[in-house]
Amino acid sequence: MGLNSCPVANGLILGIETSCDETAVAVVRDGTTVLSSIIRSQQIHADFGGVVPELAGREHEKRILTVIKRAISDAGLEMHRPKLEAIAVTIGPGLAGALMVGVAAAKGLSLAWDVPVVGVNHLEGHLFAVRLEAESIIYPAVMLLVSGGHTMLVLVEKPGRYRIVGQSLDDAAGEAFDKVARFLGLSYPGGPEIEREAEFGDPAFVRFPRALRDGSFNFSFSGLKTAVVTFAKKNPQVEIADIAASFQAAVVEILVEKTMNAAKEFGAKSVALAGGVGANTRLRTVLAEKAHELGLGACVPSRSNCTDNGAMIAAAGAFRLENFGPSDLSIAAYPSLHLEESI
Amino acid sequence: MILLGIDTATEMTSLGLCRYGEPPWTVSLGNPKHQLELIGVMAEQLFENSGMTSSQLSAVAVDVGPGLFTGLRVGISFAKSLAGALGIPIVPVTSLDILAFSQRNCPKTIVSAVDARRGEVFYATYRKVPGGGIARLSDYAAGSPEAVATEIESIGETVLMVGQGFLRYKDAFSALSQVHFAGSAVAYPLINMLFEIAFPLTFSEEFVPAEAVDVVYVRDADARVNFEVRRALRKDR
Repeated sequence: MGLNSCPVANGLILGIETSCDETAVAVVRDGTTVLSSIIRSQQIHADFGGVVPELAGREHEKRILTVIKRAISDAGLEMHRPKLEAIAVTIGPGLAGALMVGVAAAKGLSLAWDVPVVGVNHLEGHLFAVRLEAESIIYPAVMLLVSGGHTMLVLVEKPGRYRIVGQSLDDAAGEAFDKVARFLGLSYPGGPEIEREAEFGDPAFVRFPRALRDGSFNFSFSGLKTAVVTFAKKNPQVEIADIAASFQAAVVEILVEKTMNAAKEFGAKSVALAGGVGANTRLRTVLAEKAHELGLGACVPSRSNCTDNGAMIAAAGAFRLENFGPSDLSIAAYPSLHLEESI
Repeated sequence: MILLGIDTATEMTSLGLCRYGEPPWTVSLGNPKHQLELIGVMAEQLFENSGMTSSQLSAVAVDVGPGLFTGLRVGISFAKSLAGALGIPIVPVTSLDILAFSQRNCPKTIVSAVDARRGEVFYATYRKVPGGGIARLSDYAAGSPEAVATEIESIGETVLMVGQGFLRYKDAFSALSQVHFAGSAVAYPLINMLFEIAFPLTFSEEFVPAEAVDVVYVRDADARVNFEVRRALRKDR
């Protein structure tokens, strides 16, 4: 079944995402067509080498209404009467104080406009980013969800039916990028910085370990991080570019290898990429190439649909609304919500 | 003229609806871990019970702190989006002003305080002014109960202390000779007081666009403070 055949009421959904360091709001029609998508990335965390929860909460609170207003007007709607079908909002997982700003704002809008709220799992949101792309995805699919907080392989039988078949046993892939970047003296966030350096380096310069080649679909990145640090300390003459390229190659290789293995194991017809690390060019290219070699469909969403955004929350919200109805107005924030959990 | 009042600066979640000149509809629950769960439901119930609708609101009055950061952001984010969606302004009022205003007929110096966590209170000093009402004599500040006690003693006259910030740290102030405590009934910001302050401000159009409202934090985020300290230490070396 193609994703686009999943029926969604012909309505407009506002999607609000504040789970980490992006204040993002979008308006999406039918769960597929993006009418507007505003993303305000918080720059304030760069000094600290990572997201500071209290500062994230402060920034979200400061910007939330401005971003909502902008998303509404960019969609050609009117703030005082936007005629939406629902307000979808990320309820978890994420930073408690950050999530709470989005959920509180959604409730305020709900009462003002008399429009229901739909709570959305952030991870499910990432999986719905593929719905915003022109090409539909063929199920069953194996989705590689890689971000600063998560690294997991999800078998999606159809939208709403998820099975986590593997995940990181320690650091998330994005976390490994951040930590290695910090060690190499690069700034935060580490993903784009490593990628920029790697462009001028040799990915085969040093072969860093690929962990857990044990037939499982789990990942481990803490050993790789240690290997990079040890190597760099022992070989101070080696260019940062070569280390960055070799590190990136190791991460991408293991991510793609396990994705393809999982697709074979579970008889998936396609593979898809989701999450912020999905913006990495090498990962995007290699994943698509390998999928092609194996005769699998590959859905690699545009970069802006991989990183946190409100449109994916609206898309998942449309699905939730259609299949499970609106959420109660007492819905809260659930910082450690699991993908397979529903509220 | 109808106002919606919201207060989440302390452990209490308090909301009210009030048509000017009529008794307010208020609801207040002391469940600090569940402010986000409660706020929407409480507002919905107020509208249902009072028969008023959100489209009838002239403005939203909200306690902007100082107080507990997470709770404040819940109340203010809710207030901002509701007001923004209705196209109405916000009347921001501080928690310490609300507390002190409840004692506005007292001829003594008034100090109000709320819990600031980390072993501190947020506090400010007030004085009754002719014609009714109070004037704030100090900035909003944060300090340890001991430091605040020393400061109050230095005022050198009888002081009325109001707010849960004082009740929580009562031991630190019990040795002071010239102080009175306002009771626990007025220890938390009352929605009625918020309305008393907010109505005149609304009439004189002393409100702000919803998106311009911000939390009165007084104290920087810990991470930022630590970062500045580390940077200073690095410079020293």
